[in-house]
Amino acid sequence: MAYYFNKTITGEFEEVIKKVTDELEKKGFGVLTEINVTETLKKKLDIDFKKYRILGACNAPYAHKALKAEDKIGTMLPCNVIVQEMGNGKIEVAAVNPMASMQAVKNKDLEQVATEIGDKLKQVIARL
Amino acid sequence: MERKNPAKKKGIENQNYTESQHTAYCISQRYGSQPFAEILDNEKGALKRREFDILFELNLKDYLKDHLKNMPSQVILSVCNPETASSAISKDPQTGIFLPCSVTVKEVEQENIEVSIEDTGITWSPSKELTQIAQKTTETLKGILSEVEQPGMKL
Repeated sequence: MAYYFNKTITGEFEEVIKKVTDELEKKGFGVLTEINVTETLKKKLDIDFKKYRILGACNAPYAHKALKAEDKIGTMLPCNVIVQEMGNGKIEVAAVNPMASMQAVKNKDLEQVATEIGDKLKQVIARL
Repeated sequence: MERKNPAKKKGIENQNYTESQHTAYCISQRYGSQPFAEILDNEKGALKRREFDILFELNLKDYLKDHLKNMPSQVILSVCNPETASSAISKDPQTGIFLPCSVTVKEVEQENIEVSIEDTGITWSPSKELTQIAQKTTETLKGILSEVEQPGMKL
């Protein structure tokens, strides 16, 4: 099973970030964290790296459902969406496939929640 | 100690947390001698000593307050070691999906605090390129569990 849903689109990097954030919001996901990998690698390790951002997204009602199904699932939250520059004006957006991540857990209740969250994230990617 | 479940009164479905029997994705340990805040501080110190930056701290109790009343304290720390992150992304560019690592501190009951570290050996397993890095990261994070309970430790 692929561990992410992805799509490559043409556009300006910051505009794509905004579009992704808006689409996530429409599906009830707030972006709780934004990690600028490019800046972090430059600052910490002096490595020049392409534009790469990690968005930590979370849908509170679903987080609640997941925690009820699996008490330690906090170690898997929030859900990540990555946005990276691929060259020639192409930008790839990839969202975690929670079904793949949760496979290790073997909990039927959680699988149901993971499928629902996965469907929402898949739709976010499809709408880009 | 028994917790009252106020959700029951309102006719909402039972919101008591039952303990998971399926914790293949994390490694947990419980501590009985220190309050939540001290355990959290000690954990942060142990992470910093291993050069993990704490990128984000999510207070789950606050975050879910509209959905879940009287939730016991729980904090998720999103942590990252830049060297490890850099080598993971260079091996498989999509692995940002798994970053940063999560470590949680949870109040099971008063003076019974549970710390869980993500088992990257499992959670990163969908990416075959990361097997070795993932094992090493789990071992590093596991070391934290033995340093969390240190009374009077100064950071």
